[in-house]
Amino acid sequence: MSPAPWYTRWLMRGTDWAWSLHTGYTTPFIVEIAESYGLRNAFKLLGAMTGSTNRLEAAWGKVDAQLVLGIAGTWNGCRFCGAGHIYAANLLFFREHGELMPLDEREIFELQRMGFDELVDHVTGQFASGSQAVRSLLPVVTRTFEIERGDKGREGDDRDVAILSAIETWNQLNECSVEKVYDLEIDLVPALATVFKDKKLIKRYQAARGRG
Amino acid sequence: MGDVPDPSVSFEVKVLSPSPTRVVVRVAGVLDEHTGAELSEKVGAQLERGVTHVLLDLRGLTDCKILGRQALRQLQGTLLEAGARTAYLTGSPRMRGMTLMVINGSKDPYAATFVNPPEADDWLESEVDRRARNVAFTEKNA
Repeated sequence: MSPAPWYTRWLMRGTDWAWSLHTGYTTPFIVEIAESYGLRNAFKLLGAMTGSTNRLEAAWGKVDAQLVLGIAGTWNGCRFCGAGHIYAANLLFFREHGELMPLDEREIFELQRMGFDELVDHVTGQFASGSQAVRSLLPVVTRTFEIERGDKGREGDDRDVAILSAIETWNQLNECSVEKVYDLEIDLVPALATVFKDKKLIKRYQAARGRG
Repeated sequence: MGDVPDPSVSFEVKVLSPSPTRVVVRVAGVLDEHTGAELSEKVGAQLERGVTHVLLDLRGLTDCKILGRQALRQLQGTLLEAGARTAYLTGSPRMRGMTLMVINGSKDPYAATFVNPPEADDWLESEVDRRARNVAFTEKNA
């Protein structure tokens, strides 16, 4: 892949820096997006990511939205998106319910080595056997895996359309993200939502996980 | 599509030819420098005999070393040069990620990776350009 010209790299990094003021994290493959798709399509993809996330939050809620994105990233073998969005889902769930989700972001790299069937069974089993709050997330987990497995979704169903749109968008994103983060260390993965700026919450969450 | 390749073997490549222009290449075991070369040689021989559509079934791969990744990148380059249409099938997210990396690095618009065999078949039977498809998805989802 040929490197992007200096102005493209500057523009992408500048955009990422400005975005990081809002979210608290930067994206290690921001330049690769433009190198893969060109500058104009890179910005369109960033727009599609925001649009897909908004649609998911409107149709399912914030925790569910992060779970869908985390499953999509995990499915595609992207360490950054997989663990990062599951981390965000964990923080939001912990803030809302004061309890831990069974799926720990630090498990994700191991789950990515499982076969797809084993992965689906493992994760749905975790959510099916959890507390009432955990079980309330089972529908979004199950539906996301069904759509990853090839179900095209019900036309006109906002919830299915939101999941399908997110999967299509993250499939495209992960084509160019994986190269940069294929062997990434887990300690370098931030929670991929604005909740990452809540350092007090992160401290309480990590302590609850026994990592304080 | 038939059975999934046997992941218990150290390395195995099976070439099946459902038609004169199409092959299914089933790979099982560990992909490294040596086995990657064996795979490239077998696929290269198929391209020389006029094959234009290649399904690389990697569901039986148990591991892929760094030099195996490199071999797969070179093979994808060969497929691009030959003008072949390629579909990958993978059995785990880790291997799917590797094929995403290989395809994106090659900039081959006629290569794509799948988890579900019917989608891989549909891809090989179509004339879709992956990058044009991605742009259409982006427009739709923005």
